[in-house]
Order: sequence, then C-alpha cells, then structure tokens
Amino acid sequence: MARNVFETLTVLVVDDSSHMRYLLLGLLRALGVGEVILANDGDEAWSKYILHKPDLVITDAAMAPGDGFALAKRLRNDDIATSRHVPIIMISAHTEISAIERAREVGITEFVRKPLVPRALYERLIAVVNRKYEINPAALRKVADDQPQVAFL
Amino acid sequence: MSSENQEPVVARFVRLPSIAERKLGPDYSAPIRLDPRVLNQMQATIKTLGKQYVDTLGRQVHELLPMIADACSGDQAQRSAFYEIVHDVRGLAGTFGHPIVGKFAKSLCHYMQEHATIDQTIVRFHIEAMRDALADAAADDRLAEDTLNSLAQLIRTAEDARTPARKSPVG
Repeated sequence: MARNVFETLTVLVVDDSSHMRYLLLGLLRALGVGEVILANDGDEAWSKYILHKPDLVITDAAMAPGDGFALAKRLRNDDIATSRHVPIIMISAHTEISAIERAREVGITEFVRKPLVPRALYERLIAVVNRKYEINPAALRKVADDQPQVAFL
Repeated sequence: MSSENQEPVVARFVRLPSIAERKLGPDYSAPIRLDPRVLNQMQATIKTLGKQYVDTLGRQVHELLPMIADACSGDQAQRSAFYEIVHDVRGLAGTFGHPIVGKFAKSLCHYMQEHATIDQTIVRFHIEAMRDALADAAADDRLAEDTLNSLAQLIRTAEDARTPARKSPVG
C-alpha cells in the first residue's frame, strides 16, 4: 500500500483563536498528518519553530503579538537554513488584493481564505508537497548567477 | 575569433525533489493527488466540530450584546476585546455552517476597521442580526442580503450626518 506523505510531515499551526487551532488540528489529523504543533501567536510560533523545525507552517494573518506577516518575514530573513524555504500557508479573512500582495512580498507560499473550506486547504497542502523548490528562490537565483552553467529542473 | 576555438560549455542539470519525493524516498511514485476519501474525512471532521461550535458561537454572540456600550465608549481596550470576538465569529461561523452569521460579523469588522468612532445603534443592529440568524437556521440568503444592505445604508446615513453639509454654489 502506498505511504501517505502527510504522515511524514510535522506541521506548525499558528492561530490566536483556539477554535481555529483545534479545527485545523482536526483537519490535519483527518488528513493523517504525523505531528501537529500548535502556537497562539507569531512569537510563540517562532520559539516552537526553532524547537521542532516543522516541514510546513500554517498561519493566521491577524494575530497579536506578532501577526502572520511578521512571522513569515522573520522566517524568511533568519539565518536558520530551513526557515528560509519552509512552505508557509496563510489563512485569512482579508482577501483584498493588497493583503494577497503583502503575503507574496513576505514570502507566503499559499493563501487560503476564510471561511475555511476543507477542499481548499487540502488542495493547497497537495500543491505544497508537490512543489519542486525546496531551496529558497533567492538562493536559486544566486546559484544561477554564480554558475550560469547550472540548470534546475 | 571563430566559434570553433571556444571551450565547449558543460551544462550541469540539477533536479530538485518535491517535499513528497524527499519524504517518501523510494516509495514515491507520482505527484500527490486529491483523495476523495480523505476529503470526506475532513468534511466529517468539520461537521463533528461544527456541532460543538454552535454552542460557543451562541455564547459569543450573547456575550457581545452587553459589551456594546463599553466598546462604543472610546475605550480602546474594550473596543479591542469586542472586535476580537467579532473577528473570531467572522472567521469561524461560515466554516461551521453559519455563513449568514459570518457575513454580519464581516460587515461589523469592516465597519469597525473603517471608523475610529463607532455608533452604538449600528453595532447593536449587527449583533442582533447575528443573533437572529443563529436562532433561525432556515434564514435565507436573500433576507440576509436585504439586512446587509439595510446595515450598509445605516452606516452611510450615519456618515452623511457627521459630514458637514456642502454649501450650494452661489452665483
């Protein structure tokens, strides 16, 4: 029988609403995710990231202290090698173009709108595990600049 | 210089694995696809949690009613505590099968974001609409849209009342 890739994942869920955290925990368990780490806000998420080095981060946008944008920025800019390319899925009720653009700017991988629909979350998770780049796109560009003979497939 | 004298370019191709390939190793056979059985399990989870959430939602909406006066008084801490609950309802009500309650919460969140001073009547009407929609699970979308339009009109009227009347041009 084929192995379920989600069983191999450790996912960090960040949301200041306990209901949302437990909803996501339930959905990820239904999906068979191996380990789910929960955090209340961006600051707690950061310390749990350092500790557990998850394969994926799912974060709410609006939280205090430390919202989802600040968390993404911190993950992308830090020296921890894994954090620069860890996939980040942002869940937000704010779906204006400006919010989506801001999410892209700080390095969000996928964006899911609230109200949360299981299919939308599942599709984003599939997109993330099927994604080719595990290396930070900026790092890829640097390699491409330094070694023009290298092509990434 | 002729091109025949140039060093041949040696290209190196690097194939990047996906997370699924890296995690599954030799067990990986193809990109992951949506499994309808898993999706059904996820939907069943929402249904189960939704039954538990309906009590919480009712409690949250009833908690909001006595908080209105303080939230509209200009006290930022009271306003933030109130907004936090409305924002929570906005995010969750729709997910758990109460989209109309979620729409009223969204309208109220938007009103609170856009206005430094908030009007008690407008806030109360929103909360009462949320309470009524929760009590009447059969409430239809059309009624909800009519109510949302009325609330939007109420907000515009309040804005117009605050804006000094424009002077008509004199000849």
